[in-house]
Amino acid sequence: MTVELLPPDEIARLEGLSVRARAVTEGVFSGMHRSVHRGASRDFSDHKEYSPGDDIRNLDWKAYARFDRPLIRRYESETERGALILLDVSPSMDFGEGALTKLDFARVTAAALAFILLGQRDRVGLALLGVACRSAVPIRARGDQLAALLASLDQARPDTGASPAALAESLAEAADQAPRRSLVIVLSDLLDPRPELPGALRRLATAGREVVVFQLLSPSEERFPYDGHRKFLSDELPGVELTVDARAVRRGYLEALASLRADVSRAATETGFTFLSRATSEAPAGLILDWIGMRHPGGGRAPRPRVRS
Amino acid sequence: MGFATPALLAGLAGALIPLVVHLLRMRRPRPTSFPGLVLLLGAQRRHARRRRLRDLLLLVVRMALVAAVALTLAGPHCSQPVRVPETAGRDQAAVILVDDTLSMRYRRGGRTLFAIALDRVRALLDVLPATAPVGLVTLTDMGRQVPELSLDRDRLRRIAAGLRPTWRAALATDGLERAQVLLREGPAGKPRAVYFITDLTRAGFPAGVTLDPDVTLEVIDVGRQALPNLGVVDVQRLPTGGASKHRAFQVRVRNATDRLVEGVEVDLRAGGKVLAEGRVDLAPHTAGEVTIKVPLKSLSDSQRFVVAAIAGDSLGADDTRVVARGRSARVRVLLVDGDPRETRHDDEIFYLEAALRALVGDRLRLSVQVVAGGDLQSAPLDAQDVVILAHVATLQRAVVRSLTKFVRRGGGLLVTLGSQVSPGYYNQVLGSALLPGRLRSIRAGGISGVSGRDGRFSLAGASSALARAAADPATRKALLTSRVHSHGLVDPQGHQVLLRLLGGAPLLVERRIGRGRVLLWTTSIDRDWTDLPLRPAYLPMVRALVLRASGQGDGASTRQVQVGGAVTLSPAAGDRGLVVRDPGGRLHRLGPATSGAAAKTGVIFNQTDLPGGYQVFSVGPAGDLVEQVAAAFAVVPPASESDLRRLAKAPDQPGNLAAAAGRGRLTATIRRDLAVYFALLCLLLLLAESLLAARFGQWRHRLRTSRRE
Repeated sequence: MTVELLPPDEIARLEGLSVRARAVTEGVFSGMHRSVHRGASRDFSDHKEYSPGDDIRNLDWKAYARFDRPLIRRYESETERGALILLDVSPSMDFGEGALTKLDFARVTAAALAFILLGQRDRVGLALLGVACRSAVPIRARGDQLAALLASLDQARPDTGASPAALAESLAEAADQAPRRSLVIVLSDLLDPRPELPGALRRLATAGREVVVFQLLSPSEERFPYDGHRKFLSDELPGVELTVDARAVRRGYLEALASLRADVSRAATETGFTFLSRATSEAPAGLILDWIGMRHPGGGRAPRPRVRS
Repeated sequence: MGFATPALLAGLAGALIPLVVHLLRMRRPRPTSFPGLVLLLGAQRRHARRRRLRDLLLLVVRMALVAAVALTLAGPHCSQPVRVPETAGRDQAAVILVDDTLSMRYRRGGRTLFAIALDRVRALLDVLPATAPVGLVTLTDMGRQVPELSLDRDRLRRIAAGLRPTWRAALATDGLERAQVLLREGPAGKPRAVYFITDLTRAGFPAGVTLDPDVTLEVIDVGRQALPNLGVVDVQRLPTGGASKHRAFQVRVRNATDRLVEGVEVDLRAGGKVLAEGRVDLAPHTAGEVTIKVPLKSLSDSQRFVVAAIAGDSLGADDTRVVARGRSARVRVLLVDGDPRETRHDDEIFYLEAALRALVGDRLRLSVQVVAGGDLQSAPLDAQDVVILAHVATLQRAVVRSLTKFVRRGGGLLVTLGSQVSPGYYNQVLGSALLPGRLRSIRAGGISGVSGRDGRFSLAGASSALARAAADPATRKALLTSRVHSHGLVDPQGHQVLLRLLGGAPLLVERRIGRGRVLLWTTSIDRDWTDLPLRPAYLPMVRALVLRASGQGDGASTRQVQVGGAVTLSPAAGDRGLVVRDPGGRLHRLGPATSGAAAKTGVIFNQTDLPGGYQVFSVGPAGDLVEQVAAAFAVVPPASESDLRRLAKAPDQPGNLAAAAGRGRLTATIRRDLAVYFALLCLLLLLAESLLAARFGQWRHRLRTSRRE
């Protein structure tokens, strides 16, 4: 079974981050309803009112008969907790082909995640990773929390002073600031080949924190489709140019990228955090569904979403 | 270097096109914003050096390719100097005489002088005008030549390419005379010249050469300087005593250098194994001898030849020399005692048996069996090689039939006479079947015997084996002073007389029958009719008689013949022919002896162009090959060709070839077309460009990927 998800181009046509986030969230819920996911934990915690997107299989029919309203059984692992979204706003994120830059894609994904997490009564906060780790919205569960998050995400701009080396440092600062036993979601391109980056992620995944790292790359970063003689520039490295035959360095670049991913994957395996790398040409909802599927391996994965064109 | 169309060299400017394209690309790179620059920088650092080298190579190859195409189209050629006389460029009638003697096998700088000579031949054929008729002959007159003046250059080049150096010696005068004969038959009105390509070694060059007055002799010297050489020039087997456990060989080595050479190692080898070694010191330009003993036990029966060898030098052709090893003959003798006596020394075979017993071991593997005349019928003839009828008075017809059959199969029969023998009876019983000639009477002189000098032995006209038996001066004297008192008078009737008395009467007559032979000794074998048994010559004479009867010559053949020489081989009348196997393993078939004369005189074998050991086989009635061990012979290179001293220049002496060699300047030039080489270069550059450009890198990448998978 396939689920049609909004592709980035169509998301880009929607006005406002809130609308975009809701569209993504709908895709996520649509995907989850068709999944065979049953939840990882079977220890009953409490009931909650049914809301769209809840798994119908968790409907407590006995409670429904007794209280004459649909109630959903909640389990231990689904009780509310603190979640911190770390959004990379380094200059390298302000890049991408098509309608959405990597930063746009990350913003939409972060907003959708906020929707989902707040919908299940989790406390959600936001921090921006630039020259340093800057808290944008503290972790709370107030009624206007979603609005605050969406506003902060909407106003997030690339931090032009950040270099590739700043990412590892700001992640290290985030490790100091993130609460214990919280869910930490990192949205970044992770373009830092130094060994400090996996180290910082390892440190983030300590103190009982559940860490999810979404690496977002543009299609050209994934495939390096250039040829001919080119002068490569980057906002992150002002004053640095590389004039080279693009085809000659293609293999070396792809090897370096694969090496970077392998280092982070190794850190993820050793430390226990989740690492997902996706191109910004894919649907954000698909990324979230993949994570949810990986989060509950006992119930199997959600069906692979199909991007609606 | 020149060009047929120099205008096309303007295309060389095209070589700048790849450079211009390269520079333009370098000047206008497309700016590309790329956040992964930090990763790209690392990749670039790792691959930059290799890529830069490849790009540079690619640029150079492309420029070279364009330049090579332009050069090819311009028709490049060069003028190459060749070492032939400049007079070769004139119109003329010419004969190229190539020295192909053994000394031209001398190696210098990894090439033989003959190979250099062939280069000169090719150069001459290139330089001589197309209108000049040319002949091509070799000094030894061997191999395929062009024995007429020809304008067909292709044929001349083809035949020149097929020329090979020989193992022979030859006289320069002979070759020049043949060259002159060709020129005399050439067209009139053209200058005539002989181009003689030689190493100018002294051997084979007489003091002066006389040519027709209008013939120009141009000597092209390919030796040019001293040709130091050591060579084995002779190997002989020395006689050894009967009890000797060694074979002795005398090896002669020539030092054709200007310095003393001490301790030259000489090996004797057989079957690839070194049997014994010796050393000899050699003064400059002299020959020295060394005697080397080989233990008999180290020689196996199957080894027919022994090779004397020295360390290899520039002329390898004379560094080894083969000699027939001379193996012991194996003879089984049946003595038929026709006059047995109780008193031992009165017995007919007393002296003969004593002599044969004494010969056992002296290069003869001899076994002797004695029967009385009456017991001959029951004697096993199949187990014998030689039967000696010593004074046998009567013979049964069945015995005669057995003896005839025995001889036809290859056995030897020696018949000796005595007082009891009746010539008439012998003529009747043995005559037509076995006897070599007709016995007329017995010539007896009573007490005084045959008178005067008539009873003396004569060695004039004696067969070689018998003459060799008397080679020792003491033996010779003893034989010549021996006397025969009585003997049978025999009419040889065309059979070969091997030995006569001084008076001319035949003493030993031979008849070939089938594969065997019958010898008639016309006097007694004991001392009744001759005092020979009491003289020292008796032993070698008996030995020669037995070996002759057995068909093994002198029993230890060391026959040698020079390369190109002839060998006389002796097929039996019943044989279907002979087969000779040369050192290269090639079999030469000689037809059967169709006439009695051929059976007597033998057949001539002269295909001896290859030095080494030659084995001889007779072809039996059933086509089977039976080796004639004693007939094996060695073919040796001419010793004179080991002396590589160069012909001295004597400008004042007319006809001196060395002077002729220095007369003309070897400065002719030929034009070589280079377009084909440039075209080949273009192809190679194109291939290199393809490899260096994307293909090579992609292939390697695919290969790695497939290996990983």
